[in-house]
Amino acid sequence: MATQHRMEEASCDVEETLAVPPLESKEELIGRIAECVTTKDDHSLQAYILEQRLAEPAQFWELTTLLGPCLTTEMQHDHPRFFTTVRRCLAHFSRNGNAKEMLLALLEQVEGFKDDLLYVTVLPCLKDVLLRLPVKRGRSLELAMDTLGDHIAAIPAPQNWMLEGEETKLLETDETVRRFLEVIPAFLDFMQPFLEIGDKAAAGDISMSNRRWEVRVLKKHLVLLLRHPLVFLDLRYDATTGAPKTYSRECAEQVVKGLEHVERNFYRLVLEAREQPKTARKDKSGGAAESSRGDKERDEVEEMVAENVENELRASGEVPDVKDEEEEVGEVPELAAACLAYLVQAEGLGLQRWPCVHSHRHLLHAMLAFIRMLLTHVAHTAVYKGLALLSFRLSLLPDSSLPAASLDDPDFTAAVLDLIHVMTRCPIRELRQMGLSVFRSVFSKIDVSGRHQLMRSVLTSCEHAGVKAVLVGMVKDEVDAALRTCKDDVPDTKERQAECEFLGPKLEVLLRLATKLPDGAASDLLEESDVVMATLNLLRYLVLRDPRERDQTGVWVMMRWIEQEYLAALRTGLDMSVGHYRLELDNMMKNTQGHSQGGKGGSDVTASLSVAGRDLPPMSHDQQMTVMHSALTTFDMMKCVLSRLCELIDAKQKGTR
Amino acid sequence: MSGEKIDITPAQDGGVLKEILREGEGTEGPAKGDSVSVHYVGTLEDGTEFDSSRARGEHFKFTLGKDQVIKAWDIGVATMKKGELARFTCKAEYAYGENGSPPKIPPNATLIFEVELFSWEGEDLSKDGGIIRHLVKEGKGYSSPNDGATVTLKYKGFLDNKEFESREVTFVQGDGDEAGLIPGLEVATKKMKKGEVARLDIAPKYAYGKDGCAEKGVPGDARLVYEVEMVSFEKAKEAWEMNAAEKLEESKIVKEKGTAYFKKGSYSKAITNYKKIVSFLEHETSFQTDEEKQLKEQLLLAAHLNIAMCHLKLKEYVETEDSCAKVLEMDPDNVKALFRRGQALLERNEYESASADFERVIQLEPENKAAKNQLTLCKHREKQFREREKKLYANMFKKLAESKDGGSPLYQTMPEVGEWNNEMAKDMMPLQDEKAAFEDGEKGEGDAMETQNGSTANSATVGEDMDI
Repeated sequence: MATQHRMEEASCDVEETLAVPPLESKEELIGRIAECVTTKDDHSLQAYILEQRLAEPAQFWELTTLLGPCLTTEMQHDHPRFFTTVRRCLAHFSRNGNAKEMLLALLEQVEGFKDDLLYVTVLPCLKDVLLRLPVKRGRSLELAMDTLGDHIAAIPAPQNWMLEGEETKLLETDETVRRFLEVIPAFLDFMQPFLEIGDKAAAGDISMSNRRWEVRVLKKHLVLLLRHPLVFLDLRYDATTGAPKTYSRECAEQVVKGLEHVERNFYRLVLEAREQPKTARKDKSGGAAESSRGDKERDEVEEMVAENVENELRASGEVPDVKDEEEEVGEVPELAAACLAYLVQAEGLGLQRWPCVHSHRHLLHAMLAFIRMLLTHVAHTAVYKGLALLSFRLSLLPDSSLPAASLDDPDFTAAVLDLIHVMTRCPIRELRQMGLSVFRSVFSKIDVSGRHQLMRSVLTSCEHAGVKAVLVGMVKDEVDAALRTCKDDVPDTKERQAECEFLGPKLEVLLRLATKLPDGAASDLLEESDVVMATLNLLRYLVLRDPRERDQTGVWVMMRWIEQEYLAALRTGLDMSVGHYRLELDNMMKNTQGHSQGGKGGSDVTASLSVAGRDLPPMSHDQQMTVMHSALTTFDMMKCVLSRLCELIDAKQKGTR
Repeated sequence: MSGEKIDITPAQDGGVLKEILREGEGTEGPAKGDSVSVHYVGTLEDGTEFDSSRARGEHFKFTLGKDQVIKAWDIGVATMKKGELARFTCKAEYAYGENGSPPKIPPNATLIFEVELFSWEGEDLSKDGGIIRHLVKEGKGYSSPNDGATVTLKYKGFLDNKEFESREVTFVQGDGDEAGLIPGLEVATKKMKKGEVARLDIAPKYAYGKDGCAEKGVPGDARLVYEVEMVSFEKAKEAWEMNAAEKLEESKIVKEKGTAYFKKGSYSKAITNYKKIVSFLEHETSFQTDEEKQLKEQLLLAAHLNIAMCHLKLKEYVETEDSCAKVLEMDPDNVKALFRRGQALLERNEYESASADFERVIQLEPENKAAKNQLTLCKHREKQFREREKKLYANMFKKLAESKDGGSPLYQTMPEVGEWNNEMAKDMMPLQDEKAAFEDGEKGEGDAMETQNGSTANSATVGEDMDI
């Protein structure tokens, strides 16, 4: 970059030399340059500052303040030559002026989140200045990084996450995303030389030990980039499709590369983010136990004292090492750690910093907290990351290899519930589908008794008929598998039933949950149709597959209550529902006739539906009719399966008698 | 010894072969659960290096025997001594198996690790170095006691290698302090398995703290060592594991517990117990008989009422109101709930709403003395409050007036306010009467809350459902 500048300068020197009237005083120079700025006169500016080098280092600060505001997008558009000249002037200042002074002058320009172009233009100058600073530049670097980082933090997160399929490519055209992609590479470029120094410090070079502060500052800012904005961006890349990497992806790769310079073990970095708040809480509770109950006041005072001491140390610039260690840890926000975990594991970035000795099972558990954080995030790009990470971790486990004890990890069941939330509530179809497939794989990876346990807990806690239907379907597959494994040896059914998770009493528990209608016969069967159909299907399978005289599954023992409590309620419920909907349909038909005669339309709307503050138009008459008809079809289907099932049960029972 | 490859798998299937490259010191090795610090270089069979802590330039730490690392490591590192350097050849079944660990490790790959063991330390159970566990004998199975589990424990306590305590105790996880257990032991039991024997190194803050324990001869700020054996435990069932009948049974038990805590004055513990009833029963809809349904309603109602009472005792008035509101949702004319809400409102200076609640109680139970007393108290406090308010405003005006000029007309009117005030007090009952009434109310109500004793003959009192 620097050589390029110099060459430009050189060529300009030859190009044209302007006669400049000699200056009488320093003030006059400032005045003339101000004039140049108003008239956008790049020739004179060049002559004053670059060619004749009239300006003295003492004036650089003032000149920077004068010229800095010219570096705007409009200026580049309207007066490109002037813009370039100003940029070169700043480069000249930063190379020749007092480094400390120029640092502050330049930072002043970047402050205030003005213009991205100004930001991008000033960064190389800042880099030059900082590189010129003597060895003890930790503080200056921190100051610069904080200001620069603030600029990025101030760019709002993108809002349009509701993109599906091919549309996701549009995310990169979002204005805020474009801003990020312009600013962050410049920021990383700025950091590059310092990161390389960080490398040497990491290598344990003693003379570099005083650079540790620098390393810490760099790490902190790279980590912050992960939380904002990387977690909001689409960072996927599939080498097999041959499509080029997106800019966001390139950007993420650069950030991870940067981190590799300053952190040796990403696994530890990620996990520490999770442990930090926990230890803090423990400390507190421990402290409270120590200083007998209710002694809050004293604690507070102590806390304040400790804080004061810390502040003083910070002011004097001498923070003890131990303290630093703690701070460093606290600086990793969990969301950033989650994003890094995703990038390393699901996207394979920075792998040489990720130890390859941990067991797959341990990593799954260790990642659950982060997966949950991503799954419950508002941005769908983050939800995708959570799903991808979970799916990746599960994919590496052999089937049925997770012991039931894994469920003792509270994060495990919680993550499953979060997953269900994504499956049922996420507005993006792709993610819902992906959620479902991950959900299925959770069950396939856990062992049989864990599977039973998890099914039971989900059937109990989940109200969503669709999810329950999926589970009931799985129960059927499990029963099938169980029957197949214990085919011929039938010495003692009871004993085997007790052993198997999906036969006998244990199956009964699941059946009871599956056959539970929220309000008995009066339940909204349309709402429940999915789970009802799945349950009927399961029962039909059991009746057909397991002959009454053998009764390996125990279903015939349960038949009494199944018939009395479930099938009977269902029959009544279906009759009532069908009657209700028929009546409603009849009324509607009559109304149409009435309307066509009376010319009065849709006045009997009793409720309105609003989404995101906007009222949805009431359903048209035709739509209502369609809904009614499809409801009736659903009921017909249920009735059909139900009566078939009852016939089967009767036939089998008679057959054995 | 060096150069020889030994099969170290328990199954002797050649899954992990160990070759000592450099002997370590001593005879002791790390135990299961210890935090171990090593350097390693991992290569594939073709010599490709896939991972190395040496290249990263820092020791690798992990917890031994906890499935944190691949099986070969848990087996292999446990055989090492301090300072030892060994090479392990690990078959895929003891490493990453048929899936591998993409992209670095291909499926079914045999891995070769060169490991150097530096140091190890006990497992830090409290994450702050306060409770360190050294496993002596490994326990069975996976599960450990959850909150509410019944735990039987055998332990010996040592102070500077001298035994000061030895006993076997059965307690309920979470209530260990009642059985005389120090907090550190209870933290540890939660992570112990059946049959496990461990040595615990416990810092004073998880033991007897600054004051020590004179009875046991433990001085202040003493670090203690315990040898603990988890004899047995019975897990408390999670809510979703229970069927409806079990939930009812369990609710009755926790209710009793809650009441016991209430009587002892540990209100917040009582609340946790009562809240369990709510979590058991609130969404349980599968009760068959009317009898069960009725019982559920009763238990829930009592739970909410008792929670309200505890919050009232703890002076948490907003929570009191919430709990009462839940009761009134189920039973809009519940006298106790109305009464308690009234009290909470009164304490929050919501006089009008409070009066409304008390008046409703009196309407429902015209003989209810406590409510009448409370109502009087309420009216009285309201007056006092108004008075104070007035004085406050008066003072404000006074200051205002003074600041303008000494002789403002506003200031002139001040004495009148006092006179007017006295007039207001005319139809108030004499102070002594009132005091008596107040004390009566306090007493009657207070007694009734504690127990449902026949001795509180005042049948008109409210709130007596700490029934046992």
